Amino acid sequence: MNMFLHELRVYRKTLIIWIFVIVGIVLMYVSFYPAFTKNLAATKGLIGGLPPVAQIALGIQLETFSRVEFFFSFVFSIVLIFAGIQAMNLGLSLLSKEVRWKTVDFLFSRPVSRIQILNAKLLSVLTSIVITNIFVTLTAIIAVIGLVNSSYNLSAVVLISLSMFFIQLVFVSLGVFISIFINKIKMVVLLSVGIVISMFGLNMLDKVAGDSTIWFLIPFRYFDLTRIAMNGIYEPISIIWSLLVSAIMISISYFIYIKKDIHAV
Amino acid sequence: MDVIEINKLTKFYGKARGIIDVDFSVQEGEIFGFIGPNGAGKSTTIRLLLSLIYPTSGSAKIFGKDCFTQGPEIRMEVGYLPSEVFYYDDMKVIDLLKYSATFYKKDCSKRIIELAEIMDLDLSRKIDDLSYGNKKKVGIVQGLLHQPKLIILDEPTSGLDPLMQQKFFSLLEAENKRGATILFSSHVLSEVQRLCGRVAIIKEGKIIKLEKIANLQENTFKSFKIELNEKIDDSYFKIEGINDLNIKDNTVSFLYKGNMNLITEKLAGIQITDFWAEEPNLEEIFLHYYEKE
Repeated sequence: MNMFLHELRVYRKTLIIWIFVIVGIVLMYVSFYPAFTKNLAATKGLIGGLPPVAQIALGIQLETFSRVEFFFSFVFSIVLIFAGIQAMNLGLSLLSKEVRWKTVDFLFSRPVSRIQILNAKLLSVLTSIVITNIFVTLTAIIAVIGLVNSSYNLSAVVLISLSMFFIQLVFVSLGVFISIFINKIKMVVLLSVGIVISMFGLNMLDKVAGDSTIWFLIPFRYFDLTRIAMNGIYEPISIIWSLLVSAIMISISYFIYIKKDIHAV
Repeated sequence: MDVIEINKLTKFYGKARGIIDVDFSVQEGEIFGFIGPNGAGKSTTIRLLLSLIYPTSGSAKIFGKDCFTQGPEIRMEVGYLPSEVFYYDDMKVIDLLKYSATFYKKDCSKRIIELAEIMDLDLSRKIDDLSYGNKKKVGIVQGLLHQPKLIILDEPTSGLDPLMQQKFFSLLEAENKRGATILFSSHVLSEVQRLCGRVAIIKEGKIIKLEKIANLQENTFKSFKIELNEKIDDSYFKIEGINDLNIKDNTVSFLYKGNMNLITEKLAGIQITDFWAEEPNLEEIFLHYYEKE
């Protein structure tokens, strides 16, 4: 418990900043919606002018785009880039920050096992992303109720918003997994931005290419936001796959880390 | 009872040598010195004892428990002061110490204040704002606040001024009287000489000598220095028991171990203008081991 609280205290400031950033982006995009539907013909003309490939890559379907849940699914794919970077940062820093701050000797010479340390750290990171998700989902609900006059499917909006939790989970696990193999990560932010943006690019390419064989390597691909907007439910594979991939990466990380030498700083 | 038992402990970092077949034990209530030059393997041994790293082969026990499977239990009763201390920079000293105390399941707040007073440490300052010496003091308080049964010190005095060093040593002596066992690693031999009862000398990863400080000083070597009227032949003092023979102009110096009569006979055979025979200090003994063996 002491380590868990200590970790939360360490994350406190960055967590608040991230919540502001992601909530801000959600609010900004959703507040565009009324203006966007006012000039629907013009917007449709604009989107229709895009090449079909671009439409697919962006996840836009012309017929349904004016419904708020579809609009939301489009803007949320951008929100997910930021959410991914936040999660990747948390995962990469989980252990590497102790190396960077040279506090690794202090922490690991306490009378606790490495598993206890990892558990506490992981739990505090999960708490951070749960808090982020609560704020973002509440913001999405309030924004849709407050700004949209036409009919909408609120549960689809909530589900799209909560897909962020699962995708963040995968990115946290990926971050931890990567950090196990690198002794000293100096530029965490740069690394996570790089990885997340590349994943996002791959996701776009993969959508255009159709059913590719590497879809499981791209966390963004686990949830098809447009389909959630359409059906109002998750596909079971989305949940299973994100939990499974996270569990595997975290298990391997635990397995390696409990036997790893902690080198002097 | 042996508090620390180390048995054929070996550690390689890939192909690089850490320590090889290190064997020694530290008895309860002892202040045990662990000396050797930089890179000899002192820190490697200590990091193994704390299971920060894992051995290539061999075993190590503390309080009769295996260091590598029962680490958390062992560390409950161990205080560790690393050679370089680093803590969470944005924390206040008192918050760091309180955080450290939460790991030990006992109330340490009184002891924190006592220790801070002895070491003259301002608890309300931010760690980031502390000088190197003051950070070291935080390390000392942090290592002792839970009144550990075993105190492991890895070159602890760097960065402390002489006055603080004295206070720190008396603190250690008090802890030792209370019953704490101390493993004191250092390359500063005078401090080992002052505090420790026994020492292990480590060189290039291997223990080359394990002895009582008293024996090391008294029963082994004498340091001789002789001034002569004239130059003598290099071979004159080449007899068994003489080490580190150094002839410079009319001055001869060497370390000698063995029958003193042999030396007096030799000395009687030459014209001497001046003559010194002294207990070698640990530095000399140490240099001797370091160079010759």
